[in-house]
Amino acid sequence: MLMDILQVIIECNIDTEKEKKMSSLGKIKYRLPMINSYVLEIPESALPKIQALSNVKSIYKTTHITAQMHSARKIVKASYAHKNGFSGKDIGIAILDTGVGPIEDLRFPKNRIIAFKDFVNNKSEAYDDNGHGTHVAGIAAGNGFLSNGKYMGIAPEANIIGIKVLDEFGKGNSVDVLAGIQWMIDNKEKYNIKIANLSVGTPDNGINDPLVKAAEIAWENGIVVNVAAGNNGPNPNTITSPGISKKVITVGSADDNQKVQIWDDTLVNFSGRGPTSECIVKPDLVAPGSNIISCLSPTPNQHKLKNKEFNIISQNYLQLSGTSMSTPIISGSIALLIQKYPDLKPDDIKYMLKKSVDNLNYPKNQQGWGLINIEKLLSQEAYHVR
Amino acid sequence: MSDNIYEIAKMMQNKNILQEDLNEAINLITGHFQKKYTNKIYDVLQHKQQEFTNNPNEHVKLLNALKPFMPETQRPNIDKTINMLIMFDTINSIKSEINPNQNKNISSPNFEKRVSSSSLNMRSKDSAIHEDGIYEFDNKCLQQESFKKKENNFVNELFLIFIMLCR
Repeated sequence: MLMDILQVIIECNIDTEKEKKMSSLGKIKYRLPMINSYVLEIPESALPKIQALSNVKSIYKTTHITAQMHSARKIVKASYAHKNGFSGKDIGIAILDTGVGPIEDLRFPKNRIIAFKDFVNNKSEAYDDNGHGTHVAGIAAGNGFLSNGKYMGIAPEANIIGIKVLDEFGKGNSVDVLAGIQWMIDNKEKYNIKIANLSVGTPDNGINDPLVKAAEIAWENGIVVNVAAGNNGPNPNTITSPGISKKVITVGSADDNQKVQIWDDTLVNFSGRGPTSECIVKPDLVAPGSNIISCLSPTPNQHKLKNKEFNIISQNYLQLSGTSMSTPIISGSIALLIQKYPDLKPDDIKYMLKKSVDNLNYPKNQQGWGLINIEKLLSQEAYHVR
Repeated sequence: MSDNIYEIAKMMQNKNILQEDLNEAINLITGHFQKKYTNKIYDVLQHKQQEFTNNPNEHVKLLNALKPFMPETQRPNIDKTINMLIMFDTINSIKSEINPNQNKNISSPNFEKRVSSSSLNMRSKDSAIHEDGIYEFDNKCLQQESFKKKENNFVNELFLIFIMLCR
């Protein structure tokens, strides 16, 4: 008889004695000291024994993550940055997604995919078997090499750290995202990771969700965490996790009033709306998210290509929609800002974003503070809120 | 066998017998809930009430002191008032044990850390700057949550008063 194997997140203090006991019940898949937790693979029958261990604070079952694909292709006054010499040079943006394909827009003239970590298939060379992550990376940091600059991203000289936590179908488990965040924190100095882009989401499990905690720990470790608001709008309380965290920057789509294709659905007014269960206004701000053109991975999901779900433009680019596309616009914008003011902390940056928006006169829980304006962002003086 | 079934069927048609059965079922259920919940709640309430009787608040002490000086016909009213005050104290005490956080002010934390004057000025001007991050509260949502909590507290209070008066 086959046993059901569960992946669970055990919140307890990290110690070797406990590890011995846990190892006798199952397999320790990840250690997550950032949130004092372990990820275990155990048979379902072992769950009561885990619960009976001393000092176990909480046990969470793993949740499924889906990538949120949107296409939005408007550069929000990014030309100001380029005219004034800001390009995000050497600023590391971690893309936690389906991977990052070795595309020319990120590899030439200089290879800016400086690191790649695969939590799905354990491969060492950068790749993306879905296409979503590459599109996201291209929005944040593509240089338009294959389009003579036409499809350039926001921070065309930023570095990309690809962390694959989603599979070829754009789905994954929260434990792999947690492991990705842990790895990112552990390697932030090595790769100068200043920004994390999470165009991923899972249903709201409350603020005690390990994903929320991990995102906040990353923030407290000096990494600006940008998370997609999700595509479950337009009803209130539709922000996905970890976008519900009050700390991180949650990005919605500014132009979701058009009908767009997102995965297998045709949606309109898709951008997730707040408030959260803590009564926090979300998203924090918005960026374009409909029909964005960006880089096409060399090895995208073949099934989708055959079904023409991808709207391929000029062989090397494709068009996608969703808050997934809005998020890297903000990530790239922040890379530009950090290049100008390297000493800014995450809270400073979030506050400066608040001061750098255009009011769209939408309800607060639809637009947050408003639509990002990169010119305003880079024109203002640095603020230090702490 | 067939006679027995006939007897049973005949019994089931007898409304009085059915009524008795129903009453017995209701008594069983009531007894069960009483034993499992209300008796225990009542014991706790009794215990708390005794505590407040033995250690009365200032208002009750004053009324007790005044009582000997009141006309005898008025003294039962004083007793009723004292009992009511003790009941309110009891319920408030139980309430605070159930909702220890209900009086926390979540919208304006005190800034105790030393900060530079410029950042302190910024925080006092911008409601988005909090000790634990940069974010905005949805005031309408906060009001609704506060109302829901008050509603729940009110229901809890009514329930406790009901228990105390039913004994």
